[in-house]
Amino acid sequence: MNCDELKNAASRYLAGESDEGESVAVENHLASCAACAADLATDQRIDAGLREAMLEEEPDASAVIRRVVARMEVVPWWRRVFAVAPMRIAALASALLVVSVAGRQLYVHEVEKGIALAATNDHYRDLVVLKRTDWSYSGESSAQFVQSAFPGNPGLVRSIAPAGGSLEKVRFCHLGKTQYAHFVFQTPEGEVSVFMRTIAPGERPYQAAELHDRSHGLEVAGFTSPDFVGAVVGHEGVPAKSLADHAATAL
Amino acid sequence: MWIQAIRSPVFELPMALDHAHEFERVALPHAANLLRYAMHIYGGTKADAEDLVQETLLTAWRSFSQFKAGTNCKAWLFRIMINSRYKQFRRASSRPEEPLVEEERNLSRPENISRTAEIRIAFAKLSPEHQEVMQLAVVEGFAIREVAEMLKVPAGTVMSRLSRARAQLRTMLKPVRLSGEEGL
Repeated sequence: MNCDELKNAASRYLAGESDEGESVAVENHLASCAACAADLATDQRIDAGLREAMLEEEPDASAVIRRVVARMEVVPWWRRVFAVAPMRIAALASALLVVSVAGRQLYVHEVEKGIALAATNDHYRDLVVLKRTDWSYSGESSAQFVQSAFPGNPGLVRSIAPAGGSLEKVRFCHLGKTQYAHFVFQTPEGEVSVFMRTIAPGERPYQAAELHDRSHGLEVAGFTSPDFVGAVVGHEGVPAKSLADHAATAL
Repeated sequence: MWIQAIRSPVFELPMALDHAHEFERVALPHAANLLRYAMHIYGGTKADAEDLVQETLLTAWRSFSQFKAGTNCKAWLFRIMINSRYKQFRRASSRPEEPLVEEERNLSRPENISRTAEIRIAFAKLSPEHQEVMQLAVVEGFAIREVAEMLKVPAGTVMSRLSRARAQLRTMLKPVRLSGEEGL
């Protein structure tokens, strides 16, 4: 390999894409040519410096991600399903059938199904999509959050915490049009969400809802106490109902 | 974990959720890389770059069913963005603004600039074609073949552009290296 051939091979070599034969030829040439060796060493330092210069600041893409996710949600799922023309009729028939079947599988024992569904949706969005950035994390920031949102209730987190669970984070969210605090606990069974708010003066507490979607494994159980109302959400295996009952009693 | 519970072979609704979740898992984490590339290579304001990245990701979302699982999603997104940019460029029929003009002015005062700023300034002086290949191959770490596919040029062209870009950077950074404290 001569100097011109090395110039041609250098890009592949620097990218780690040279095969064994080319790598050996490059290294043999570098061992015998100080000028090429110096250039290649400089190129390696420039590459490293360029990476450092360009990567030292991570641009904040959260605004773009939020906008994209919002636009994604505008596209109904059925439009994507029906976009495949040959499947349209079959998909429509399947949709009607399964919606009917799924509807029968939902056991809504009490009222406020809308709030329970909104809670499952929020749990999914915030814990699976992970696009929220406004959490107050466990420790001082979550303590400040609780103090500010629920003044005069220092033991509140302890009252709603699942057994063996620890508070991971908390933020405000809206279920329907009502603001709730969304607590997330890490438990041995996985993440558990507890949504709750203070009952407004004169408000009639709603009956706690329990919703179980057997086909998808979602569990939601509502709770109500003299001062608070809320819901516990977790996947199948998380005893949402007993956690909700515990919260209702402890609060 | 939660999505595992939602998954069901039964019907399209969970499939649609999976579809969205999969897109969020494999595509959205590359938003910052796309934004960085758009800001450095295409210049303009951050809002312009965000608009381009948004258009890229929404195009990717609409055609996500065509994405082959297990292939390089980041390279796929960059191909979409570069195509989108070419279309925008053809529509506008004008050159993008040259970035980092302000920093170029500071080149006359090398004592005031950091090592990374020196490199940024030298990089900004490269032609757009040379910046493109350096950013894609060196910064983003794409293989030469992937860069060639993105830019729709032969691999040999990518290699020669990389070679010329590195030679220019060597020349531009040499005086700074000789006078700087750390050098390269």
